[in-house]
Amino acid sequence: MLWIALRAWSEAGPVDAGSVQALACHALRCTPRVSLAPAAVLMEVSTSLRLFGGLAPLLAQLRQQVLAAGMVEAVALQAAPGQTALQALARLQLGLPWRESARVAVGQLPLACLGAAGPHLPVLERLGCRQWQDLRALPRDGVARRFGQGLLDALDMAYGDRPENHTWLQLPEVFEDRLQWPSGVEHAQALLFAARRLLQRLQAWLLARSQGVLALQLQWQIDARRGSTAPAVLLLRLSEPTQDMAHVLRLLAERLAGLRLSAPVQALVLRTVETVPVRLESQSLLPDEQRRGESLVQLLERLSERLGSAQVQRWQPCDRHVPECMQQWLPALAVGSGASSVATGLGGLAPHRREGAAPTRSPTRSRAISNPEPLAGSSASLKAGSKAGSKAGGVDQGLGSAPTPSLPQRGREKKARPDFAPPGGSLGWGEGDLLPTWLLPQPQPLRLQGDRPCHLGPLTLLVGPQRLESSAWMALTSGQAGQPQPAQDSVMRDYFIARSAQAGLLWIYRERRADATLSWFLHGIFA
Amino acid sequence: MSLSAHALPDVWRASELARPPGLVLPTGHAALDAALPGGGWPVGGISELLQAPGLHAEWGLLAPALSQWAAQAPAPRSGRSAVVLIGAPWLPFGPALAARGCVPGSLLQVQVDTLADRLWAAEQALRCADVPAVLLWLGAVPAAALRRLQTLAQEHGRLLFVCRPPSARQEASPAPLRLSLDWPQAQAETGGRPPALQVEVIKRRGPPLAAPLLLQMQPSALQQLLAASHGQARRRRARLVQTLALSEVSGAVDRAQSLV
Repeated sequence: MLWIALRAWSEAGPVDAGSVQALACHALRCTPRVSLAPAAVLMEVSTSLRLFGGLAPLLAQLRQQVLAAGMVEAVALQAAPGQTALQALARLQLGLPWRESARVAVGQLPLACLGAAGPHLPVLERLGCRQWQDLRALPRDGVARRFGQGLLDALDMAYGDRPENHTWLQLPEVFEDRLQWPSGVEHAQALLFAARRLLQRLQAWLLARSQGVLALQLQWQIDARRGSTAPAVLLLRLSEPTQDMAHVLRLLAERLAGLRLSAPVQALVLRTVETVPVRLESQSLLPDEQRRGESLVQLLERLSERLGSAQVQRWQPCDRHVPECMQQWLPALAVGSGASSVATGLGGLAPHRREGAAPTRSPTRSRAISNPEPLAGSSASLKAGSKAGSKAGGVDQGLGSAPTPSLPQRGREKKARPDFAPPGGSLGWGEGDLLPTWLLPQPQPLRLQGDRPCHLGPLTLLVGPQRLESSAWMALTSGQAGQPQPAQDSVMRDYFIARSAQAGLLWIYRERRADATLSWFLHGIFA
Repeated sequence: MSLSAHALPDVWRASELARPPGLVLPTGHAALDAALPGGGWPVGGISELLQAPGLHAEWGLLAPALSQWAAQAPAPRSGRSAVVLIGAPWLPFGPALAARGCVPGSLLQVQVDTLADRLWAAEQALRCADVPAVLLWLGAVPAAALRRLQTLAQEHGRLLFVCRPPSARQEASPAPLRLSLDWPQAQAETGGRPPALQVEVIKRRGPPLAAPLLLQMQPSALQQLLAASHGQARRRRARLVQTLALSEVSGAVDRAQSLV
């Protein structure tokens, strides 16, 4: 049996009960046999020594956990060894460093350090008994008559002659801890500092139980004299179980930043709502394998917390042929609410490719994207404004003008699919190469200069038209597939690739409504 | 005593390109690679792209590098990483990006308006271990904020592209690489080819670049389509001119007959 007694010190003196509990949680990571003494933690480590490689590494790790990673309010950790728990506790109360206290023989420990001797100390002093060996030298029956059987039993336990009776520490299923202030805290930011202390204790609890927190609740109680006494609650949900309290603290900071306290807060309670077992990553030996910085999920949560979850978006493909319906940018946290779904949302290349490719072969798409008969006067290559055009008069028509008799009949007869068919001969814009890389969320109406659409200067149409019939998908989107569409809703778009002197290649379309009005829209940019 | 280039990596001759201290990522455009120190985008530093309003050449310029970088992204254990776009002007179009090599599912778009929020989001993204590259669109921005981003990118070894308006050209910038993008003025007739992007290297660790580079950004399928369409239009116009010439001849005959 090898016992270690632990005590933590803050600047102001011994730490409070909550921190002792946190210290016990840290001790639980070294051994399952931990019990609480007044203001100290007792741990039996004889069975753990081999795992940790000896007593010194175990103590070093414990010290590192408590001081470096864990409790901020503890500035010093004091430990003392002993063959029994009472010996370790007595050595701890000597207040000596580890080495010197280990050198003190058991018999020479002062009786003041034995808890059971406390009430009898003046009498023992007058008897000349100052050390354990003095009391042990006295006749047992006399001691039992004079001081009671309890002192004798305690002495036997301290020497290991009698088995000790310990209540091993068991952590509760739900973590709950509170901090109180007599004067109250007035600012939400000051609550954050208190929450930080509570979170450190929560971290110790989580580490000891090998669990990660998924949801936690911060509750504060407002001064009873100042109106409402109803406790205010802040519920924080995480998308991934975590033991990283720095991340939780940053999220809490975002939430508390927008909070105004109506009255001073007198107590703060932290409670876990949902925890799950967490699988820890093994630490890598190689330095470049080690992660620097937080994980993507943490980033998503923090960005969403501050900017609003709708602002942080992730791409989702859709099985539609209309450009604005081919994709969706959805809130990233909604796309991946759990850890597993985030993984598919982020790395799932294969499903995206598959969904993107399938409609290319589907009959609906090939039907919907038909190459229209080029409208009269809209042949794609005619460049109004060029010298040859102005000289030739009726040949170089402005785009989108009414049919003119001077245009040869041949252009109208040309029904082969010339323009949008890439050399490979695939259908429509299933090939993403021919699609613009930026898409405007709302098609932007284009001004007309004469008959030419303008966007930062007049546009030159290079390729097109490629027709998109709307009636099929309008029926699909409105969910009334059987009903005939109203005439004004049926939209027909002819897509062109156009060139602008300032903006490069653009993707524009001409919409012909049922009332025969033509309007031009900018829909994408080949960036 | 002579200074050997190997002894002091941070010292280079004024006539030569520097050897960047960190990694570089090939841009995918050979001509651009040749003009950049180390032969690619500097990993761990800002690359500034100055674009006129209305001009967008981000994806053509960056897609090859981003697809390559995402594949070898430094997120070995988790297996998920995301390229973060902050304040993008329009929606990135997934199918088109997939065809250009970028995985749209690995993009994360952050839509924020104010400058402070953009800078904050960029800082958070640079600190994240699973974000190999950040694309940031900024307007007027104080140099101190850019310096902060540069320090962060350097510290964490991230690719950071900042797109800014051309008015920023006269301002000092901590970015080790600054490019100005434009369409060449004298490019009225491209002969059926998509317009080439004119890339001017404003700042690099090395001598100034004498002439701007001309880079072809569009994928080959689109180039072929434009060429085919152009050829077809030319043939059609030739036929029209022929028809017109015939009609003019006949018109002249008519006029002559009316005179007689």
